[in-house]
Amino acid sequence: MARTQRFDAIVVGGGPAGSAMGWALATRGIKVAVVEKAVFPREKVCGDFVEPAGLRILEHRGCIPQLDLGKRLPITRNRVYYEARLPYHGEIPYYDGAHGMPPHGYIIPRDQLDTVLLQNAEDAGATVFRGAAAKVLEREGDSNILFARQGKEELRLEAPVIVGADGVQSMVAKTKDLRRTDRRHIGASQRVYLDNLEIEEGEATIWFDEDQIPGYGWMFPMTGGRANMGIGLLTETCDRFGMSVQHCFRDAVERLRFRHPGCRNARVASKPLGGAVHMYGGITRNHFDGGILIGDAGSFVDPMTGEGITQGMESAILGAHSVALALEAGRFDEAQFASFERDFRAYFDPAMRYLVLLAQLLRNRHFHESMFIGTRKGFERAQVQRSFGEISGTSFGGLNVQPLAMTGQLLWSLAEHFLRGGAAAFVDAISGRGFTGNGAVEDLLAWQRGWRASTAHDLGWHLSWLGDIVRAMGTLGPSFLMDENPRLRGPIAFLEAQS
Amino acid sequence: MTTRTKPKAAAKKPAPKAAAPEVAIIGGGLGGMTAALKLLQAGFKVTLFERYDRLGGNTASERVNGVEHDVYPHMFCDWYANFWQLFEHDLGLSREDHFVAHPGSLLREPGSGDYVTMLNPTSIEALLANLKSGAMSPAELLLLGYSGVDLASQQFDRDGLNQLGKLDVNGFLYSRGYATEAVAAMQNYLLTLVWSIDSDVTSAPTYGNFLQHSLRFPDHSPFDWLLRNSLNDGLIAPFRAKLEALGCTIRTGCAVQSVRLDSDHRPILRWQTKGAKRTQTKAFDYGVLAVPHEAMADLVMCRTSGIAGSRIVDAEPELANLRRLTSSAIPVLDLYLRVKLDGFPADNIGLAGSNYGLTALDISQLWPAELFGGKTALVVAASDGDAIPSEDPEQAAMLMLAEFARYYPQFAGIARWGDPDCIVDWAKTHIRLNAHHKLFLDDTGSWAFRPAAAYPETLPRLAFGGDLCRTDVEMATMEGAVQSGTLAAAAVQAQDARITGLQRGKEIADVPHRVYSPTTFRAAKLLLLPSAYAAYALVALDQYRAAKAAGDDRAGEALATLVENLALVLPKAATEAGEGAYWFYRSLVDKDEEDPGDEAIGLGAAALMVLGEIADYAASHLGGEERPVPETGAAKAFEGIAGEIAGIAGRAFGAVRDAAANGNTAKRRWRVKS
Repeated sequence: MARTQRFDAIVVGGGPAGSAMGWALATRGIKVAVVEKAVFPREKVCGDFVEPAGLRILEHRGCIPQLDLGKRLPITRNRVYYEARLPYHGEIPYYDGAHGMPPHGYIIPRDQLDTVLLQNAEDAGATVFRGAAAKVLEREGDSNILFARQGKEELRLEAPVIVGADGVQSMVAKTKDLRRTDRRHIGASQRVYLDNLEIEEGEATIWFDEDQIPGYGWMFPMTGGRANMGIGLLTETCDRFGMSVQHCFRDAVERLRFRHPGCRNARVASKPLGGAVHMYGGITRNHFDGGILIGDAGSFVDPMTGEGITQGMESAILGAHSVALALEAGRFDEAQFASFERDFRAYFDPAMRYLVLLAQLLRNRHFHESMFIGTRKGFERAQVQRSFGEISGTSFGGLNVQPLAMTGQLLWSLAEHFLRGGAAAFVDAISGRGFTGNGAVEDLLAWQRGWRASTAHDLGWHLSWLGDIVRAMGTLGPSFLMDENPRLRGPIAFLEAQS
Repeated sequence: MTTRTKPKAAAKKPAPKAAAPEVAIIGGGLGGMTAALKLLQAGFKVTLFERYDRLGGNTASERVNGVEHDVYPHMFCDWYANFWQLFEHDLGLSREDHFVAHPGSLLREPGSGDYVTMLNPTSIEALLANLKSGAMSPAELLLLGYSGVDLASQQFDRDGLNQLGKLDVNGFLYSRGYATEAVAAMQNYLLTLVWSIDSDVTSAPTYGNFLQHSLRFPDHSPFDWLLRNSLNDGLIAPFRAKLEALGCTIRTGCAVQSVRLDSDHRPILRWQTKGAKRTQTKAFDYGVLAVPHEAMADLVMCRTSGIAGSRIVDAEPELANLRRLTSSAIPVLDLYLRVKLDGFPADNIGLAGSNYGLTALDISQLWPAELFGGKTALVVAASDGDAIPSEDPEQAAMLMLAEFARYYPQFAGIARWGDPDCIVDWAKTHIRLNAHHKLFLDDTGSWAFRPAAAYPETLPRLAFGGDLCRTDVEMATMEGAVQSGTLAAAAVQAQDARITGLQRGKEIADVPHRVYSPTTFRAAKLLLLPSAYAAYALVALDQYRAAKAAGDDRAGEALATLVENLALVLPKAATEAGEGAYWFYRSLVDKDEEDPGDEAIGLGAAALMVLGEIADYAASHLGGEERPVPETGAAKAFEGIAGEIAGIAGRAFGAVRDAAANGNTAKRRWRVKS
């Protein structure tokens, strides 16, 4: 029998969320253990993109110096390919450097990032168990008992609070029967490191291919002609249409070589790794008797972009507050931890619910033509109209999601397109040019093809999809009523404003 | 939804050391056969008892002189989820290979050479075509449709105990402010035709439930599917082969005389096989009664004395109510001809206004051609069989034929059964009155008296099946039979699991139906209400005009009636709208919308679906595509009121476009910059 080590809280998982939790609890003077199965540095399937909101948290924790940002490339520009077209090429419009955030994101490979962050938690006072795989979680009275194996040694840790920060395959979530299986909200991705690239400094590339919708690909450059490149797809779509992430990925590497002039000689520099992401719309409940789930384990991933590093840290900081409250109150039941639900809902819902709706709208692959044309036109518009990129652009990355303004912009663009197209067709007709292949009419017919394909293919699914859209719309109250997206000021300011 | 977890029961195969329990299924109709199949699949030992020589019950065929004659023609509706699951999944047969889809059915007036097409109103095209079909005035047709939506959106008490809920369809119509004589007559006609029951005795809640299942706009589903073979060859024979392959003991020609219960609630059967001198007796572990209500009442009451065991009705007195249930025979005449009738449509034909409620179906265009040698064969059924003033089969046949001749003069003047001087091939022609194959009647109040699938407290080892049993599909249908057979099998399996502590086989479950949520129906009703009352006013106006034209307005009575009717339109509409709005509100606050369940279609999804279909329809007009109305023999493409609205921009544009294109072919106005 292993000797029992007692803590106030045990965090399972030492990634960005787990280490942020370790840091946040330790700085409050709480005795916390972080149990990480790997010995860092280790590889992780990720885009490695740390957005400005994430950097703000890192700065607060004082780990910017260790990350050597000076030697890294800030991501300032973006190319967006639609097959071989380039509808957008320019600055990333929605990062403005306000609210204490740097104006750029950085690519920080996860092996380096996670190592620094976990060290930061340890420096703050957390007890870190590296290379310790959590095996079994039990509950005895008001206590959580975690059995882990570190090398040959058996660990037995005990604490009133357990925090699951153990990613998609969360053991904690599984034990508490909270692991998500709803493939409508699970993405699959595969990524690799490329080198031998000749890319303009700090210019990211993303792309959409009509045969890989809903999903997208990315290439985030680092110094020395290296880049993180990968694709993500929705698993439900893969199931329904027999799409393989591996095949799509292989195609994507090939296509990148010829669509992007700087990637002509790209060389695959690492083994392609695949992974899953659990997205925000799939959250059922993230608290239970004795603890909470944060990060990927709690499905805090952006449903449009698949980004999760920042949300993982944000959910950790919010969760740490609930953990501290529970310890203060000496109560550890599910009802006590419901404060976490209230906090993260108040914090994330306004923006995330809206993004969930957009993701739902884009979930039906039968509409691939319309989705492809429609979103491409969005990027084209952003190219010429900066305000469109600033506001509607945040549907695809960026923090300042403004649902009301975005809805107005999107609906107005659609109305304008169809009114103008209809008028043009009418003028064409009466001026004797006859029926010309008018864009608006073509777009309407493309939509119609999607509608018919979807209803004919599986009406039951189609109706349930419509139901999901309506349900997603029904939760938009906070999105439309908010004055300002709480994420804009970050989790720390959010908690301060609450107290 | 996609869940990847398999039911645990499936993973853990039971390793029963004890022999499989024996189940006796009494009644080899669709319900009994389904129960047998499901139980065999779950690993039970099944003996199926059937009184007649062939399985199938009301879906059987009788072979006479080498020709298969179906008991009566059946409609296989598109929404029969359990039936299709059975046919496609359990029997492994293809729907497209064995059935043909029919978008609607036809009506024919006496003396008319033409047909009126009624399409299943599941698409905008079909709705518009129906309004213009000429079966009734568009206003009356709109009212007919509205009355269906109205009934489907009513909230009735489902126990059947509420006295006010014991309401008939005609009475329901009478209570509505928009009801007209023509709508009531049409509802009555439809019910008589399909279920052999008058609207003034049909249970309104039950029919409302049927409407909830069949109102599926806008899913483009067909009216029904017709089997491309006799019931025996197309359905029952492969079904029987499947049961035999699974090791079912099938005892046909075997009448079960009594079922009593031993001290452990086990059913003791006594039966006699045809030709056998003695009866046999055996106790089974479980029993399923899946026989018509008269036979079921006999078995439950078990009037014969001197048999060991206790009566079923002693354990469950409620079953005495089985004696209240009723059914009706549908006489069917299979008319084989010596010639081919040209131009006979391949659809179900209702002979409007016929005595005996006649329908006709040309099976020679439906069943395998080699059965007919290029000649026509018609199945003529008398849905209102009790109106035929004869109980002699051949005499009844001649009466039906005489009535049929009012619609098809080729059959006029046939003197007697076997008259050689006509186009009928008497050697193959067959009449049956079907006194032993009656159709269960869903009459007012019957729901409360119909048996449940099981009574676990009082009859732990018995279950009940057949279309008379209570299911999610209340109306007597094949779907009800299949679903009740499934539920009976599930009840036996559940009881066995309770007794042995181990579930045998995979969990038996019925397939839920995809229907609109109550909120959706109520919203649809509210949406249609203004147009319904406008239509009602229009009908009143039409009636006044007709009366005036006929010179019946001598003392201004017709005008007075018109004024009365018009004066009442607003208050009646306001009352109904207020009531409808209240019930709509109630279903919203009762939260049946928040999660309407996997199979119920919520209001939001329904609204998006309808909007999408309208946009689709409008896009067709804009894009210049010709959208065909679903094809039937007599279908024509129409564009009606709503279509005008949806497509007005499209067509105006199209017209301008065409005119411009035609008028400017000579001088093109391209300007080249020089």
